[in-house]
Amino acid sequence: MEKDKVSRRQFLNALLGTGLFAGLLGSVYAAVRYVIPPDVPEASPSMVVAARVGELNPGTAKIFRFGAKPGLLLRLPDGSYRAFSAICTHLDCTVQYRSDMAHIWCACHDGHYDLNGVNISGPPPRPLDKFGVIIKGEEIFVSREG
Amino acid sequence: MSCHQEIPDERLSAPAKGMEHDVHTKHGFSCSDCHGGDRSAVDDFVAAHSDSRGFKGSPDALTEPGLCAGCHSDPVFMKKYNPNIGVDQLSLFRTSVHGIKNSQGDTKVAHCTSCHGVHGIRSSDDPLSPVYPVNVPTTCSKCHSDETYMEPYRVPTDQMSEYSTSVHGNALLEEGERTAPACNDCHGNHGAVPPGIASVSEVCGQCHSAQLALFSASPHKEAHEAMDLPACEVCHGNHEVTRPDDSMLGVSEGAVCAECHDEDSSGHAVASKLRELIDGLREKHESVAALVNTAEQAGMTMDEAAFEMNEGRSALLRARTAVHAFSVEAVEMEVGSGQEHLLKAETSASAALSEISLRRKWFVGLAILGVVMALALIRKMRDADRAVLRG
Amino acid sequence: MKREPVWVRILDWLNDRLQSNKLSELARKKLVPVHKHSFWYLFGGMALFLFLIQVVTGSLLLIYYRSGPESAFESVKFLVSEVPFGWLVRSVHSWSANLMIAILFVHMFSTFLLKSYRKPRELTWITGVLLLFVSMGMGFTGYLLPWNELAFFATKVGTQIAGVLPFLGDFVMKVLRGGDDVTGATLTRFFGFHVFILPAVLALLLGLHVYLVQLHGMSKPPDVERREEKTGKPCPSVPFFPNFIYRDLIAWIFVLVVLVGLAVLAAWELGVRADPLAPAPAGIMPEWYFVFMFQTLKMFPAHVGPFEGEQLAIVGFILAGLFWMFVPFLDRSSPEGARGKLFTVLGICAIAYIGVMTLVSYLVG
Repeated sequence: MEKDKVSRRQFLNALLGTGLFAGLLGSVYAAVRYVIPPDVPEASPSMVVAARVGELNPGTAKIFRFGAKPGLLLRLPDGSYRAFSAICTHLDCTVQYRSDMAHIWCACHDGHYDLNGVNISGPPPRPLDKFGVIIKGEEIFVSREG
Repeated sequence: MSCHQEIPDERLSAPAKGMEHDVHTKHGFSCSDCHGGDRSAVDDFVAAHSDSRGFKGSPDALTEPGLCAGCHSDPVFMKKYNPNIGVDQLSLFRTSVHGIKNSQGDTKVAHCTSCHGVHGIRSSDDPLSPVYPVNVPTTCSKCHSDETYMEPYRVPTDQMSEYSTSVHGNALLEEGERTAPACNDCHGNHGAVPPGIASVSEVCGQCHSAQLALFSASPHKEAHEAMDLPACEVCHGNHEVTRPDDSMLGVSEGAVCAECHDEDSSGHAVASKLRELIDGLREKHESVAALVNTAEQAGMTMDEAAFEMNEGRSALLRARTAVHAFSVEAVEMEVGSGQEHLLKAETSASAALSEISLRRKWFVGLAILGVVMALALIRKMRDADRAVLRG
Repeated sequence: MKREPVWVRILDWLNDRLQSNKLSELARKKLVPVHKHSFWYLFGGMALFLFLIQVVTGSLLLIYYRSGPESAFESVKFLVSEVPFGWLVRSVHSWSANLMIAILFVHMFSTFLLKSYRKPRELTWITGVLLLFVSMGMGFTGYLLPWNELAFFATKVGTQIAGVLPFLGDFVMKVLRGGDDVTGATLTRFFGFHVFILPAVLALLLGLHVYLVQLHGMSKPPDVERREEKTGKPCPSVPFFPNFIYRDLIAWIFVLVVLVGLAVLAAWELGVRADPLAPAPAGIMPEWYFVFMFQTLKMFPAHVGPFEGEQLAIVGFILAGLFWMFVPFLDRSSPEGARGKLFTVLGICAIAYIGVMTLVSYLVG
């Protein structure tokens, strides 16, 4: 009888000890993983790296991701940069730069914007939202506050 | 003017009262500039209205266009008041159905004052003017919706009722979107005529340029011309043009393609293929959107998926425009790019969802561990309590 | 003689210096009465456990959180989407805050109805009520920190209500907001309140509260005391260590599983970034534990005699709070253990009022 009780107590203690150990181990693992910074650097709230210097030739453009939305980074023929929201103000399609027209164009319904983002032809009711461009070292940053 | 305003006879007092808002009054013109007579002899009724001093009375429908044009067709004169105003109204009017009938002596057809008003003519950019864009349909329909008035001309009178249910009418009349087309944007105003068969597509293409370009390069262009059919109107209608949706395309019920293309023609096959492509992309977009939404609801951040979804939706809109090329390749290109983006969104949504189910599995593990430990603790508690309370 | 292993010797050494055997002796000597209301003793421990979780998860959040209207929302977004276990830490912190307040309410009303505030535990009660107020302040300030739309407008409304206060209103609102409106300045000071000022106050009060509980031992409810008197037999009790610790541990495991379950199955939403220029979205509601006051303000008549209704209601709540805090001195019949029926009824009315107002708000709104 007495022996039974002792072995049961030992079993319970072992069980609780193992459980506690497993819980602690899990928590410590999670905490350590948490503290190690992730590979993806934290995106600045209102700024994003849109391209690298030299990536775009004059007179070309690229679409970049700004949070969940597309942005358009444009390199003018004179070498300077401009950036806009790439969302057409008509029906939210993604606009593109047309080097043959030398302005911004939306393929969905033939909307045209000039290189200031102003709607010049077709259905768009408003100009594109303008972003600011900052070149820092090798990277081209685009900021929401133009 | 002050005399006329006080005349008890409405016929003679009402015109003078409206004149204070008149654009001509604002530029310093007065009664005598249209009606003749002597402006300086205001105190002398007889002298002011004497024929010898050029009093013309009230101009009639046939002489009126010439009277207005006396000033409005004079570029040098008009420039003094508005350097941008056109001076071709009369010559355009003479090419219009209204103008031709007017020259033939028909006094019922519209002339200048029928649309612009008589006394109290407002500038066309004044919202109270009968020719302000939003007011144009009502102004035209005063005559064109009147069955007895229009009877001798044998033209339909249902344009206004059709137009007001159309996507254009809704945008202009309900939403006040001034850029939406009113009657005159398709028919012309001073030179109003029904657009001919050949010019319909040019009329629509003024705004719908992408569709016009695709249509003009498509096999439909020649076919319509050969059969003397208008371009856009065959599928979309004219005054009652409604917002098109995907059900218009293809050969199923409610679709327009099968009205011309017989069942075993190649056009029939292309039509049903186009519908299949568009439907496929739309359905994919819906199902992926639901998946992304589920993941978002579960607390996952779906920025990248949202970005790809947006590209997919763009492609769907482009594909709908591309339909006007009536070529499987053109639509396939847009649909293909859309499917690619949606696939990326789907992949990231599925990854998020499987991450969620992994988290749930870990939680179940924790819950089991918790229950086991709690049971063990209850056991130990009983043992300890028994030891204390027994004593 | 066999030498003890190294770790036993280290423990002995530490024990000598820290005198921890005295502490465990104390825990062994401390008795917890066992009776039909003993269950309610567990809630204080659960609240303490949740407080510890808040300290741990809160410290972890500080590693990534960046205060400021430009960065707060984005840093939380980054935390929950990119940082391993970041979602868990934030979700647990949010849920644990709410569970803690819920458990504090249960703890407070159970001690109220069991009349544990009687002499000599008046100070225990007062520190407890203050702890609840400070915890609600922690909830109010913490809610704004992710800088999302709902929190932004709820804070706007909440601070506005403080502004209605007679005489002091404008001053209080300005101090809370750090200006005339809810802006980045508000976020900065709420952050300061939430991570230092209020936790410091909370820790002090909590230390005092727990010390007082140890000093006076567990209170016996009046009916248990009466039975002791009637039968002449003392109520049975068990040592705090280890018997009652087992009960506490079971409760803590239960709380932990529920907490992680909520965090995993109903992850705390981040919502959309606050845009101070956007119009307020429909259905702005404060956190649930403020809802009964919010609803009262909504339903109060606009004018009562010469007073403005809202002002009157707020003054009423302040007086009610003070009354509640000083209940040990007002309930004169309790020290002798007589049936303080009046205060029992008051307590039940308070619970019913809070419950009904909260329910009405959620059903109507």
